[in-house]
Amino acid sequence: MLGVGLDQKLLAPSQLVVHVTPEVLAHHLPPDAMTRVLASALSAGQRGEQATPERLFESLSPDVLVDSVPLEVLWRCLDAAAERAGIAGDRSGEGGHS
Amino acid sequence: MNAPNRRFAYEALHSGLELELVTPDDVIAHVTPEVLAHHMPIALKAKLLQASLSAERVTPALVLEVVGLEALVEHAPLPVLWACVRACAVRALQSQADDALSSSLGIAAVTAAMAGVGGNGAGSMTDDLQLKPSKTARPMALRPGSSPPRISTLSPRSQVMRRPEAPAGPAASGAFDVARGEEPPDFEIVEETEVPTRARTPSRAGGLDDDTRPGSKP
Repeated sequence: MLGVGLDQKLLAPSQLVVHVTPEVLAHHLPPDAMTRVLASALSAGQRGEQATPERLFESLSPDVLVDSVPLEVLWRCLDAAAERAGIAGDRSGEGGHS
Repeated sequence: MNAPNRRFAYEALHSGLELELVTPDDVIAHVTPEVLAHHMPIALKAKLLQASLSAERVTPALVLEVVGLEALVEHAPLPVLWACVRACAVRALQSQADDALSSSLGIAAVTAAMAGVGGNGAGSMTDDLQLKPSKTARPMALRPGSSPPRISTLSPRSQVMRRPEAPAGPAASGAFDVARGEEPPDFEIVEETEVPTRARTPSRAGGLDDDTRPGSKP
């Protein structure tokens, strides 16, 4: 679901990083994944390139994120994306239905 | 940082960085992303990721600045830190040795230039000093005035004793004969002295002996 959201551009890495913050990553990423993130940032720096959220999530596949980041955090990302895309509908109506 | 070992490593790296013998690149070459990921506390990793996303470029200097040397030394394994110190020390020593070598080569180049320009004898003198090995280092055969070594089955002294014109006397017999008889008949390399052979003959005939063997002489 996360992968599809990223593929279909419903969810951009810059939006993902709003919820999956560096703190969240630092807390939950396993060392090998963190190694890839830091190495990628450093190698980009060597090439004179910036470490962007796009690059950050290039080195972290959706599988890794799902395996390590708390699901409620990922859900907030997906929910926010759905809202932005107009998929979520009117939340105020949700209360009325319940 | 309470552990003396860590304090020592910190001081080594701190001094190295201050003296520019150690660069942030050196530090990150050893304290790799893997080391950082495995050993840094979560708060530091978060700070580093945050700084990475905010910075224009992520460089070793940025990593070192964000993490801080003290925290780095506090958390990274000591062998990793020491490997960094050692590598930088070896490089510094090597470059010092290279500098010494190049400065001595510079002296040689200046000397060679002097030899090329000098017309007052200094040139030939420096040429001698630079190009010729010392006299003792040269083989005897290459020394001026020397002849190639010859191989003889007999020692020169034996040749002297066999001369027919040698007067028979106490010197030709007795202890000398015994000593001569004890000389081994093996082949040996005999080096000529600088005195010409022809000049030696009359002196021998005149009774002057060049025999330097200990013992009584005529």
